[in-house]
Amino acid sequence: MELDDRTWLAEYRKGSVDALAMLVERYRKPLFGFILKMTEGREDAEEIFQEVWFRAIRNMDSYRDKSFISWLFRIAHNLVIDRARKMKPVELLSSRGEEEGEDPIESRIPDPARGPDLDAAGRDLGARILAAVEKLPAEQKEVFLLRTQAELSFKEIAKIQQTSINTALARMQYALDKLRGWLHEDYTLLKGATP
Amino acid sequence: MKCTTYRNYILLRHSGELGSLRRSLLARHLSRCAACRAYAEDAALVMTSARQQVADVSPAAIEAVLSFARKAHSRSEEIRFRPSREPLLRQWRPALVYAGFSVLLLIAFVTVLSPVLQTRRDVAKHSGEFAAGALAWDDGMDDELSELSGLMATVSADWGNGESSAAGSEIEDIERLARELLELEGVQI
Repeated sequence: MELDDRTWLAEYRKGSVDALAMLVERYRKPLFGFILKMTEGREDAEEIFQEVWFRAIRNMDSYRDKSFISWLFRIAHNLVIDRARKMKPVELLSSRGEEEGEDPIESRIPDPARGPDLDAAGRDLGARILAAVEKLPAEQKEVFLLRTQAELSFKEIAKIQQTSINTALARMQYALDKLRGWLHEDYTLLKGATP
Repeated sequence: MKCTTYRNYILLRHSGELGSLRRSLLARHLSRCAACRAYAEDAALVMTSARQQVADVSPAAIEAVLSFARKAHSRSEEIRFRPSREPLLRQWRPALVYAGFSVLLLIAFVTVLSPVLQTRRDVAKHSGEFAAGALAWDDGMDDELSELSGLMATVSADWGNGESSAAGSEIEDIERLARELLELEGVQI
């Protein structure tokens, strides 16, 4: 039977580093997937990934949250924001979505036939979706990734983004609408192929 | 309700956050709205497909995390077994708290009491001045009044000697003088 996070955490607090290894193993993919999409490159992402765990380890005694994964992603969110502030203060921090009324959305739609990311992704819908996700405004992208990669609930996502659940849902709707528009042909093909 | 609300329900259903009542409302709406049905299908497809595409972190990064955890753990063990100064500090903590509290109390006492003491000193000083003034007033008045009573005695003697009309006007003058003198000194007549 798979042990839950609380049990592993209790074991780690007693001194078992193996318990922490289990937690790292459990969340390495969703956490790294999220960080990788929210940062500039693999090197940055690995650095932030490590820093997330370093901070978690340092603050393990004061950890009181109900959900460990939510806490972990909140640390990641803060680190990503800090990094974005240092790197690109204007572009990454401002939400450029339709919510704010500024909508150069057509200019940002990737052309499935031309984008280098999408070329590399070929016809694989999952890879194409994630490549298209890169083009979303930061806050929409974050909601999408927290939902799909980390499988967090909208309540947890709203808490991480320090916003209301309705805003989190609206951001997800905007993200899905854009992805549906950009990847319309792929959907049609895939749905046609699905029995 | 608008389709936007039902699309929120679709997302909440996917994340397991939709209650049974709303779930049945959504089911009823989906049976009638083709656009929301298509949205639900696409949303499920895109979320499932995106989940399958998960990048992985390098083993070196994982090892760095675990090595940090080992170090952190051994450091905390060291701290736990090293004879530390904490018990001594803990032993002295109540005394330090009381000492600090006493100092604060003293400061507060001096701060609050010094204006009161100053006021008392001022009052004493002013009451001394007032007493001296009153004394001076008394002395001056005594002289003046004794002078007036002397005059009255003279005038009364004149009255007795039959010089009544002159004495009457003098008495009036003396009374007026006395009244002015008393008014000058602020005494109610």
